[in-house]
Amino acid sequence: MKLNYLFSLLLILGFAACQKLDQEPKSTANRSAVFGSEAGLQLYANSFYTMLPGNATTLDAMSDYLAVKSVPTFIQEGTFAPNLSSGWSWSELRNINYFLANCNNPAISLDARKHYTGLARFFRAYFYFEKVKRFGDVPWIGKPLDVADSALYNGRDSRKLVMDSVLADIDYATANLRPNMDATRSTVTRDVAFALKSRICLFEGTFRKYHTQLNLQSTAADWLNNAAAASMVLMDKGSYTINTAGGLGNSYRLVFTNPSPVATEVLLASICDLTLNVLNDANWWWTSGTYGAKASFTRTFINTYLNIDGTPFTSNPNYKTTLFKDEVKNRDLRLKQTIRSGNYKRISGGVQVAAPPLFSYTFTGYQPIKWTLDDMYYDAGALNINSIAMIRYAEVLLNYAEAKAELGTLTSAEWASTIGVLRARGGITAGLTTLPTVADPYLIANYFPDITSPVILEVRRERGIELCAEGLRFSDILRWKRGSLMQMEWNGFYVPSLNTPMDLNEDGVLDVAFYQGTRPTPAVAGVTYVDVSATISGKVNSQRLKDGTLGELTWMNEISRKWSDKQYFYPIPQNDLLVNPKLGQNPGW
Amino acid sequence: MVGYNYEQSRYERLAAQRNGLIFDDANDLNLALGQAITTGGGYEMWAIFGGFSRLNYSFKDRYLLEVNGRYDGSSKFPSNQRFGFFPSFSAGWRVSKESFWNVKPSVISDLKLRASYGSLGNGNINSYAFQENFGISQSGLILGGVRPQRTSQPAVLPNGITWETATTTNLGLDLSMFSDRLTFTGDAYLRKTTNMFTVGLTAPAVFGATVPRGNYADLETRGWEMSLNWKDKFNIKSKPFSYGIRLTLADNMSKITRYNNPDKLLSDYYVGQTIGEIWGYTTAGFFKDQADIDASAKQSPQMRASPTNIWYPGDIKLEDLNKDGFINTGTNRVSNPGDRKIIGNSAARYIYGINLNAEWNGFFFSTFFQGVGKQDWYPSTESEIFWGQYNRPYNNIPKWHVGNMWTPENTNAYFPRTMSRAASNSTNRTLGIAQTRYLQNIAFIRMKNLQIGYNLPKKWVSKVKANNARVYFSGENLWTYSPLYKLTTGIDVENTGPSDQVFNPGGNSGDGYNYPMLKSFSFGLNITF
Repeated sequence: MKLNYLFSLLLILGFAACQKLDQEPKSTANRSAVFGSEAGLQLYANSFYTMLPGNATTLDAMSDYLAVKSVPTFIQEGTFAPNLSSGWSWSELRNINYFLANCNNPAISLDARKHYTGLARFFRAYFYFEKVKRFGDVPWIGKPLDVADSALYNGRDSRKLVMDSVLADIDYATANLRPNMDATRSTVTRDVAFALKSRICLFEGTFRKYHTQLNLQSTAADWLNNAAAASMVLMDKGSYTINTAGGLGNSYRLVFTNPSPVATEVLLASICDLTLNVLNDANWWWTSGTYGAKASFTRTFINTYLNIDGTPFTSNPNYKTTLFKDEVKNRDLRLKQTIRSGNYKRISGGVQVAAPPLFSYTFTGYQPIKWTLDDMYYDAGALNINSIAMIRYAEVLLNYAEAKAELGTLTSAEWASTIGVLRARGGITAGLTTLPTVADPYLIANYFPDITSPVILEVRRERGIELCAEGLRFSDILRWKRGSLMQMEWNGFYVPSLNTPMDLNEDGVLDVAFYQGTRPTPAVAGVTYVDVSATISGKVNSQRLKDGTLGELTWMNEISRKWSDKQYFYPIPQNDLLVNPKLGQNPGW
Repeated sequence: MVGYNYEQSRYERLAAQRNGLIFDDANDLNLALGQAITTGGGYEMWAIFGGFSRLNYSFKDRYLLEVNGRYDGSSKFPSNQRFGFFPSFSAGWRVSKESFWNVKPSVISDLKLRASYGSLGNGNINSYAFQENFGISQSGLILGGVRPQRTSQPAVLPNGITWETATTTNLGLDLSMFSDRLTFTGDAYLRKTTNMFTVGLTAPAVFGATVPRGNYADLETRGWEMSLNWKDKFNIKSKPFSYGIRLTLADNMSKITRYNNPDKLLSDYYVGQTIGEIWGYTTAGFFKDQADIDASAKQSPQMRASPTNIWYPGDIKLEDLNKDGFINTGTNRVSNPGDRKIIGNSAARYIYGINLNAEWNGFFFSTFFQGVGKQDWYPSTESEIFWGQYNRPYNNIPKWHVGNMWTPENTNAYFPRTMSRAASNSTNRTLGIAQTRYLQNIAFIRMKNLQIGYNLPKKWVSKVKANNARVYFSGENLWTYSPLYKLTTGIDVENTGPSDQVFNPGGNSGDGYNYPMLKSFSFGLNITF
């Protein structure tokens, strides 16, 4: 009898234990929870945003106009090879495709599903745009692949197919994202989708136009028209303007240094906020002697800033030997909002202090301040509170002007409402309302030898100036097929003689002197002495003067920079090619 | 015997944190007023339920038989693959008990043959490996004025997942000779691990996710173990002298016998792979001069010796094994590994131990040596303790590097021209990739323990009314020898592995950082009343 009880007890316990073998994770969600409500879709869609460049202000570190502390491997002669290539990562795409494959629960309103599908497809367009820019042809994958799917080992799809798909995605986004705006400028809206569309289409249109070896020139005009049309939607809508708050001479830089995005101009920003402890490292990167790339603009580029009266600075026959203190005067007001010059001041412990270019940080003298905050407090780490604009209205206008200029249909009225508006913010007084008619020989000689159209030349000048250090330059160079600009000498301001201390900001305090060999004595207090000898203790010196004992500063002339056509596309990384040889390598690598 | 067992583990976490205590000693959340508030939850539970039985049979103390069976189920596996049956059998035959056995016990006192065959299940995996999990966490970005919660694609699931089974066939021999003075135990085994739980073949990057872990491989381990014991006593000066020697030696080697890698890519397991094998380059030495650089196989772009990619005398020269004029990795397949070959193996082989003890007239002595007969180590890139400034320019310089770096005057140095980040995670730096010159032999012998002492004679002890008294010296890890120590004794040979594997399994924070083995000396006096 007792044994029976015991046996039953064991059976009951055993049965209970068997039930325990079905365990569900409780601290994570399952698929039906995530895709069963709009809140769930939102929760998932928040993960897409890490794909954007975010707080980065350093994306132009590899560009023609920034001299940096070491030459990027990619443009160093004979250094880069497929084993060093990168960027062949596809996890973000799978994340999007997984969302698209599951965003189909009829319990959620069709409007909401379309909105979030549009959001996902916006990011897919963004993803593929980046891939095509880097690699050219890439495989088009529209669904989350199973690990056993043979499509994983497919070759690449044509640029045409991929970019048509990108266009379909971004068109879906512009049609289906809800029309409301986001006052915080931090999320993707229909307006943002139109802006991205204009960026993508301008890239593709000009790329096809100038890279004739693709044999896609005949389609270039369609893309350019698309770019203009997308910009036009935003221009007609009238929700955005070029910021003028802060006043002439300040309104430009405010767009980059304001803690919250300047909502009149910025369409999408990466937000920084002290209380939420999300900060960026712009000051640290742009002012540190060790952390960042010590990036400074080259003189060749600074020369493109127009005089305030709208004439080219380089029309002055003496421009080559103009001293720094003089050349920064009477220029486009965006110059002094981009580099340290004139009476630029920083704040140290609440006190304003003069801040001439500092040669422990700059190699050329043209030291950028576009993204940095004036208070030195922010220099010592990732402390910056300025929100970083990722897409702004100025670019939309520039995209429009360039697309129309490339099509040959830009009118004076359109010039006035695009380039004219931007130059007006720079304080430029002439040439704002009529198309330029003179092709600047300086731009032709230094930048665009194959361009004869004064309009295209001036649009490109404007784009370089307005959008400098915003991460678009390298892709501009690619689409213009001007990769050889990456070989341009890294030059700095003009040094008339050795051992002569110079006052860069004309505050009566001497700032820097250049010498060779032994440092002049006695040293003048406060002066930074820079050795420009050809060699220092037997080693090649990177900082030199162009004409030996005088001339423009030069930086790293000894490292050979090389551009050849193969560099318009990165090589497929060696390991990825070994795993799937069908991908094929890009030509020349 | 029949029984069943049930085991469960349940983990729950609740964390809340808030800053801004209103006074220093406050110890309740109500007394914190700050705005930096974080909360966190967490839950994990698994259960194992199984039945087992055992049958023992012994006939005349000669024939021994044991049968075991286990039937286990785990919540970590989907319901259709949840249970596994793991039987085992073992049999023994004491030959020396047989009637026909007429060998004198003074020659062979015991002879036993053993054989066993059995399987064991291993289900030690993550709790929810077969279910889609959407982890929710706070975004690092500000979207719409807040840092919102976010989730993203779940890990890709394996097609199925079940018990990993280790099936072992073992043959053994127990032998006692010379009136039990010599005993020998030997075993040879073959262990087949089927459905080994491991990561699947690396998919092309376009897959876009980590390849799931599943029962993707089979592994075969062959090994043997033996121990030999000798003990004896005789009289020295009419006092008994007893002593013993014990030697143990074991070895095994594992090979992959099933893995879906038809091309035998070296980035994954492949059939025929010996576990632990190290693929690497053959170091030809250092470049002597520019002519040598020009005449040798091109090291770049596969390798890189300086930021400007210029090669200098004193840089590492690798051997161009496939004679194609370049140092390269071929197609990274077994059939075409480029200029690499198997240069060593990181698995420990021939693990041995030696025990010696003796006792005479109150004196006693014992010592224990332990060691590994064969093992290779290629210091990982973040092993600062080995690479010093070749890893990072701001690292310390190990003393043994001094005078051991190549200079034009010191071309016989162990290390190349000084160069920071040569041992770096970038795969194209000259020291970061396994090569013969810096492959270390970490076989070793270590005196783990030594004891010497004296038991005071009873007649002395009884005077202080004690039962027993002894004085002794005991030392741990007093002496070690390893070929590695010819280079440096700065790295403990038993601690060359990556550090912090207990709390951070698989962590790659550099080799050799573990706390070294301590040498300890103790002197003692032990009195029992």
